[in-house]
Amino acid sequence: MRQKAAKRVSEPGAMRVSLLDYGSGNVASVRRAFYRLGAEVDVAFTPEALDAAQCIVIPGVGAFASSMEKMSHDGCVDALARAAFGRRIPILGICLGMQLLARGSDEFDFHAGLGWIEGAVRRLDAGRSEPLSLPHVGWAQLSAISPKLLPRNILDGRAFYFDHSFGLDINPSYTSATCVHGAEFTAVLEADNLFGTQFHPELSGSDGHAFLESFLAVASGQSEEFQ
Amino acid sequence: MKYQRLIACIPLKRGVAVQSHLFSRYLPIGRPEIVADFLCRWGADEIALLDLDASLNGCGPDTDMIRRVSAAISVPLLYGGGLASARNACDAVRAGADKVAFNTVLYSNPSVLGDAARLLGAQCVVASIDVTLRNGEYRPYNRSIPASAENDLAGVLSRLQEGCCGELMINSVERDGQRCGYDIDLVRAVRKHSAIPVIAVGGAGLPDHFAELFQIAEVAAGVGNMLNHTEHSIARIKYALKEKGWAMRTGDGPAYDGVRFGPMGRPYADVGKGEHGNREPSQR
Repeated sequence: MRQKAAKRVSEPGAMRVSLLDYGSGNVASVRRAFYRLGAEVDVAFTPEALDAAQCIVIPGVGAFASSMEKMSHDGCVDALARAAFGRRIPILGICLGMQLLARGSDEFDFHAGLGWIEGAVRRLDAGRSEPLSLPHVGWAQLSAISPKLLPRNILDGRAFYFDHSFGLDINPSYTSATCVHGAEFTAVLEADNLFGTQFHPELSGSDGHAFLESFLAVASGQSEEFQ
Repeated sequence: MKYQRLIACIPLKRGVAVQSHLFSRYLPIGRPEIVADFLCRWGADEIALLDLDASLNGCGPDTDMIRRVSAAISVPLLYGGGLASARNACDAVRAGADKVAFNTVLYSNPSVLGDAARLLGAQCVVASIDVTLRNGEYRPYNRSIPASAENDLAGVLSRLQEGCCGELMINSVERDGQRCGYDIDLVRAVRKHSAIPVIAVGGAGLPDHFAELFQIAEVAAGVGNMLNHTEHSIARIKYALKEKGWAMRTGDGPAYDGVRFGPMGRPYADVGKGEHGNREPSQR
């Protein structure tokens, strides 16, 4: 199996994906998922590596504050902004990685995020009168709202794995698909070259595989367009 | 729509996947990465890898083994065993675990869960509590902390601070490997104490046992012994439950559409015209 994968990676035109490692993320699982798709994967934790990236993935699993702190300490925040708004390369945030794109989070008190997407990260039960079981953990179906570049058929009715207590409260025009736990929340975000998923495509079996495959197809189109 | 979760538990003794009976007798199954691979292909929603020796022997997580198991699957991996510190938990996550289960530190040093939650997020942290029934009362059980049974279950649950863990894994000692059904009273008692989602373990033997458990909200079914030595075990359980109207995620395992199941969870024999089991395995 290892040999087969190595051969696929060397195929011409394979997309190179840089995984941002901010110390605690589940880099191993995300790496495995892209590796299975035949993408070339490297793990980036320096501004130099991010400046050279073709496509950046910010993995989930972590706490908001410690992740932001680690990223600014390493100088990665500025490098990410250059990638997102200077070179405009595709960036995918998974779970916490998507939440980091917003202005700030209430997790363990308020903390500022990257602030690229207008809106905030809130607990799913914020403003509810009756108690809600948190975190929202398990497999759930999405409802596609108005996907832009991602095809509708990889979102609508597919099963994905969620594990989160916080959700994005953003401008609905960025929301491509939603899911429900207590109330509706953003499950997939698309804003030009910024993408985000509240679920974990890397842990979502064949539906997750199909999602990442489509993301890579969109991303390689975008890289050609902008570079 | 939310799906009910079937979590395939793989207990380990000396690095070998085993079937466990009453927390005292173990039958070997094989290499954990092979077990995880086929359980994932048959449609497990999650894999729980539980190293039963690590805490007793005082050794940390076997990161090489976590790496091998993680490489074999495409669903979340919950790892438990030998996690004595937040550092241990981060090592397990870096090796490929997506969630970590703490058990022994709940009695010796519960602040470790909060430390791990600050680094990894509370959703990544699972509190695993083995429970024994003594004189009609539920008591926590841990072999390396002999006094653990002196604690009461409510006390251990209330010691879990707000926001330090994302799931409770509740394992019934008396039902371990007994195929007599889940301890529904125990799960209800835990749900009453805490709003955190529960993974119930111990006692699964028939599809009806899962249906009984799923009546309780926010409860996932952990299942171990029942999955071994039966071809397509998870897929069969899922389709039997689907037939009863439960929302099960069946896209990744072998297809048993249109097949009827008997009370023992075995498909009826008139399946010749169906295509059960012939679907291509999920891509990897």
